[in-house]
Amino acid sequence: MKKILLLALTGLLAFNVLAQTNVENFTRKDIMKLTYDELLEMPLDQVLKLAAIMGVSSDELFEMIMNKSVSSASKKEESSFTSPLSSTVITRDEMRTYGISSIEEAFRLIPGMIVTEKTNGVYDIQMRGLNNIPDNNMFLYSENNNALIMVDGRPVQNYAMGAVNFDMIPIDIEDVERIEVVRGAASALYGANAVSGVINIITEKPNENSKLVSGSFQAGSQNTYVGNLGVRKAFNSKIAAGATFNFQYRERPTDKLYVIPGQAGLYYNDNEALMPAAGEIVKTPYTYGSLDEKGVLTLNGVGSVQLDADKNPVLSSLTLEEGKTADDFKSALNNFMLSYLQHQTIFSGLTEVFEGGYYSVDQIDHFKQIYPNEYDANGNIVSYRLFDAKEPETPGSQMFPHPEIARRNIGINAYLRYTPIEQVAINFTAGYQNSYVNTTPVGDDFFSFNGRTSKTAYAAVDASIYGLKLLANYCGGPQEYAVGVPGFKVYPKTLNLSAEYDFNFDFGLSVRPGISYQNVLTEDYSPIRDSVGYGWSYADPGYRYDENDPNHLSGFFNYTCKMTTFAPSIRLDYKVGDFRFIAAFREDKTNIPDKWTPSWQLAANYNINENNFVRVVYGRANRGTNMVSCGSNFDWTRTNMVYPYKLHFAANEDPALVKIDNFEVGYRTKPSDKLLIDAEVFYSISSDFGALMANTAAMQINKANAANIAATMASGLKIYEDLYGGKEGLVAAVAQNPNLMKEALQKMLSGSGDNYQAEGFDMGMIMQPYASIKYQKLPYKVKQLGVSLNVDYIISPKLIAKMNANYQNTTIDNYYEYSQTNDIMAMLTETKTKASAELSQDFANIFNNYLVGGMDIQTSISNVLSSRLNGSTYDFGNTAISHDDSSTPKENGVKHEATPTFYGMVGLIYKPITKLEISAFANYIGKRTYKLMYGSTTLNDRCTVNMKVGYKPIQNVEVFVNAHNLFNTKQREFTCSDEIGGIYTAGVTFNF
Amino acid sequence: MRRLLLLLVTMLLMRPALQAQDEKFKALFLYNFTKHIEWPSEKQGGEFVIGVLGKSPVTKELQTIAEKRVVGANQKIEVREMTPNDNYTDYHIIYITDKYSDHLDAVIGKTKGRGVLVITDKEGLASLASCINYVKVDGKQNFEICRRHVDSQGLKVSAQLMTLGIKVD
Repeated sequence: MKKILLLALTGLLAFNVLAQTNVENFTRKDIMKLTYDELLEMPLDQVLKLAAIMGVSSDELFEMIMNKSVSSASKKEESSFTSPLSSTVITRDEMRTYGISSIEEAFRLIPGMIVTEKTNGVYDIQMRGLNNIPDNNMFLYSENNNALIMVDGRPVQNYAMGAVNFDMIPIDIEDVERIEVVRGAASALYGANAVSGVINIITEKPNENSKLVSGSFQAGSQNTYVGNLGVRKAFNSKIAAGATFNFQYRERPTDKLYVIPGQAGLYYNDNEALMPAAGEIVKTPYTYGSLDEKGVLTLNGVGSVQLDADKNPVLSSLTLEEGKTADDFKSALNNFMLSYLQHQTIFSGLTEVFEGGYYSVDQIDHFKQIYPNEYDANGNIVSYRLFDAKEPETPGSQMFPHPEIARRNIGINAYLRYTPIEQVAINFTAGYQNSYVNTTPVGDDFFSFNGRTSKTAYAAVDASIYGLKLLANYCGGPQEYAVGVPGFKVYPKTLNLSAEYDFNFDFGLSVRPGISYQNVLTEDYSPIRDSVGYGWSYADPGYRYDENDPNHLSGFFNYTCKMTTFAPSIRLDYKVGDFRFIAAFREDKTNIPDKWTPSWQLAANYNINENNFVRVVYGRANRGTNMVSCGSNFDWTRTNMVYPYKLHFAANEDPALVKIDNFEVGYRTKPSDKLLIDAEVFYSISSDFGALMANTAAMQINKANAANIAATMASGLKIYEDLYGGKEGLVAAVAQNPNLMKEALQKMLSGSGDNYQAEGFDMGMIMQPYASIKYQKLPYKVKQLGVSLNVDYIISPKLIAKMNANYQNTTIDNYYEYSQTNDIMAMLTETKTKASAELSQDFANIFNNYLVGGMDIQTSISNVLSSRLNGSTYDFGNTAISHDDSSTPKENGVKHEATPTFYGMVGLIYKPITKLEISAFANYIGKRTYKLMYGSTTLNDRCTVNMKVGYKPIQNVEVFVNAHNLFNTKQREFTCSDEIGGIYTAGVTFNF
Repeated sequence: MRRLLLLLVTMLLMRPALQAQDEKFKALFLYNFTKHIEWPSEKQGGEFVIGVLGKSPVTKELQTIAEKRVVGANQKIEVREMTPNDNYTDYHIIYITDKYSDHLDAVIGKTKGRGVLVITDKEGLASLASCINYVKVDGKQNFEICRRHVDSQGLKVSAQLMTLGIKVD
C-alpha cells in the first residue's frame, strides 16, 4: 500500500493537475501512513491540502472530547485542560451520542456525580454524596442539597425545602450547549449552597452558526415520550433569536406505591368495612374472662360455667360469685362475646406490613396502625387502639391523581442575543415550565412517593459590556411539594442581581470585584382561593395569624418569608510564567440568619508544559438557609393518627448553615493528543449539619372543651359531696386521705374511655399530646477523603472511550444516633409526667378555693384553668428540650454508608462507518445504606448498561434506538423507590 | 470493579499510534516556508537556526526534519529551545508558541530588519506584528501571512507563498 502511495505521489509530483485531484481524495488513514520523507517531498500547496483533510476529521473528535471550554471555574472562558479547579464539561453532542435523554441522566457521564434514578426519568443527583445527613430523619435530607445548580449563572435552587429539584428546571437537552461541573467548595465564586460543588448548565445562545431547526423525539416502553425542538436564527450580525420547546412524559413501571419497610404496628385489611373505625378501642376478650382447656368459661368477678361440645353453657354447672345473679352472668357473657367478635374482626385477615412492599393507592387509604392501648398488671394487653395510618382528610385520590406517571413536564424558552459591537453582548432569556412528578415525599410518610408540581416562569438578562458583567433574573410561580397534602403549596419568587468587573493588568494580574443581591420571597397564600380548598389561605401579605380564618393554618409558613442575601466579592487571578494563583473571597450578609458568612477559595496552578497541568485548591463554602429551617409555621393535625395529635413545625431564625473546608490536588495530562487523563484527590471536613429536632411539648386541652371540663368537674364534685355527706363531710374525708380528690379527678377524666395507657398517656382524650419540632444543629463533623479519575481516550477515529472512577471514604466524627421519633416520644413522656402533677395541683387548688375559700365552683375552675390558657388551648406540662448533647456519648470515625464508597462509569463510542454510530456505557454504584425515620434500607451495588445505535441516512438526520438499562436489571437505585427495569426507545435527531 | 480497572489499564497501555498531527503540519509548513523566503546574504551561510520560544511538540517535529533535510544548498538545520531572556537575533526563524504570544513585541523589537522570520500561533497576531501566524480555519490548519511585516524584517517572500497563505495587511 505504501509503495503504491509512493508511486502515486511520484506521479503527483510529475503531474500537478492529477496530483491535486488525488491528494484531495486521501483519507486521514492514508495521510497517517505517509512517512516524513514522503511528506517533506511534497510542495506546500499539497501539504496544506493534507492538513485540511486531517484538520476537519480530527476536529469533530477534538472539539467533542478534548478541546472543551469551561467558564464556571474562573468565570472566564478557557480551555478545560487548564481550568484552575476540578472541573468537567459535557457537551450536547456527547450527551446525544451516548443516548442521554434528560439533563439529569447526563451526570452519569461526569466524575464525582452520584446519579440514582427513583423512577422513570426522576432522579436524585448528588455530588460526592454527604447525603442522608443527619440520618434517621426526613427524606428531605436525602435529596440533593450540597451542590448549587445554575442555568447560565441563574441559581435554580428550591429555597423552600432546601434542595435542587431538576423537574423544576425549564430547559432540556436541546437548550444545552454544555454542562460544566466544578467539584469542590465554590461559594466564593457563586454564593451559598455550592458546598460540594457547582453545576452550571450553559445554554446555546442563538448565533450565526446556529441551525435553523433542530431537535429530537423518542418514544418507547413504559410509555416514555421525550421531545425537544429548537428554532434559532441570526437576523444580522447583531441580532439573533431563538425559541425552544421540550416535553417529557414517562410512566412508572407500576401504579402502586411502595410502603417503606420496618414500620411497627402498620396493618392492612382489604375489607375495611369489617374493621372498627380509627379512634376505637378494642378490648381483648380476656378483659372479661377466659376459657380454659377443659371448656370452663370463667367470667371475671361474676362466675363460671362449663361449656358443652357445641360451646353452649351447661346451666346446671353455673357457679356464681357471692351477690351475683344469673342475669349478671348473662350480661357479662354478652360483653365477653362482643369483645371476642371484635377481637376476631380486627385481627382476622389482617396483614402486618412490616416488610414493606407495593400497594395500590386505594389499599394505602385502608392502612391502619394498631397499637396496644392498655396493659393489665401482668403485662397482658387489655385493649388495642386503632389509628389511621394516613390522614383521612387527604385521601389517596387527592394525593395521587396520577400514580402511574413518573414525570410529565413541558418547558418553553425564548432567547434573544444582541451584540451591537464586539465588546458588548446582551442575552435576554425567558421561559415557562409546568411539571408533575412522583418523587420522594418531603415529609415522613409511610410510603415513598408523593406528587410534586411546579409552574414557574422566569426572565433573565446577562450582559457583557467591555469588562463589566451584569446578571439580572427573576423566577416565580406556584409549586406544590406534596400534592394533595395541606400546607405544601408555596409561591416562591426569586430575584438575583449581580455585577462584576474585570480589571486586567499587563503584568498578568486580573482583578474581578463584584456584588450580588438575592431576594427570595416565599408565600403560601394567594389572593385567589384555591379551587381545591386547601393549601393557600386568604391572608394578606405579611398577615401572619388569623384565628377566625379557618384557612390560616393551612400553609406551611402562613406568612411571607423573605430571605435576602447581599454579598460583595473579589477574585484575584495572577499568572506568572507557568504558574497561576487565584484567590477569591466573598462574604454573604443574610437576613436569616442575621449575620455575615464568609467563604473563600485559594488555588495554585502549575503548567508543567502544554500537556501536563497541576492544581492545588483549598476552599470554604456553606449551605444557605431554606424556608423549612427558618420560616416553618405549620400545624400538622393528626386526628386519629398516632400521637402527638398535633405536630408543629417551628421556625429557627438563627439556623446553623452547613459549612465545608475542602482541599484538593489535581493533575491533568495529555500523554498524547488522543488521551486525556484528569485525576484529583480531595479531603473535606464539613460541619453544622442540622435537622428538624424535638423542640417543645405540652398536654393540651382545647379551649372549646373548657365548658365540658368545668361541667364534668362540677358534677364530679357534686357526686363526691353527696358520697361524703355534703361539703363538710368531703372536707373531713380529704383531711384523712389527701389523694382522694386526685383519684376522683382521674376517674372523672378517664370516663371518656380513651387513655393511651400503653404509652403512659392516661389522662384521657380530653387532654391531647402536642409537640413541636424545629431545625437545630447536630455536632457531627463529616470527613471525606476521595479520589476521582476521568479518562477520555480516542483509541482511533472510529473508537472513542470514556471512563470515570470515584473512590471515597466518608466518616462522621462526634456522631451519636439521633432519632427524631425517639426524641419526640421521650419529650412527650416527660411532658405527661409534668402535666399529671400540674393537673393534680390545679385540682387541689380548685378544691381548696371551693371547699375552704368558699368560692363558687365554676369560678374556681375557670380561674385556675385560665392561667394555663395559651392561644386556643390550655397547656399542661410544658416542656422545652434543650439539645445540649455535650454529655451525650459520641463516636468518631463512624462510616457513613448512604454515600457510596465506589462509583463510576465506562463508555465506548464506535463508528464503523460514517453513517453508523454505536455507543454504550455502564454505570456502577456501590452498596449504600439509607437510614430513614422508619429504619434503614440497604441497596446492594449495581451496574446498569445503556446502549444506543444511531444511523444517519443523511447528514442532518439520525434515527436511533436507545436502550436504557439494556439488561432490564430490576433492582432499585434509590432507597424505597421503583424497580425501573429496561426502557427501550426509538427516535430521531435532526438539525437543518 | 475489576473490569473497570482492566479497561483502564488497557487504555493506558495502548499507546496511541497517532502523532500530534497539528504539530507535524506546523513543522512541515515551517520547513516549506524556507523554500519561499529569501534571507539576507550574511545569513545564507552556516547553520540555519530555528528557535522555538516556549515548550511545544513542534520542536520535536522540527528536530526530526532537521535530521532529514537541509535548507537551501547545504545549510544544516539547528533547532533551539529559547527562553524569554534570549537575544533573539541569531536565528533565521523564531516560532513563538501560543503561550508566549505576549513576547511578540519584544522579539520584533530586537529583530527588526535583522533577517529573522517571526512565526506566531495565536489568532490576530499577523495583523499585529508577526510575519506568519498559524490559524485554524473551520478546523483546518492554515497560516496567515503579512508581506509588510516580512519586508520590515529584511526578508523577501515569494509570490507563490503569498497566494497559498491567507493574506493579512
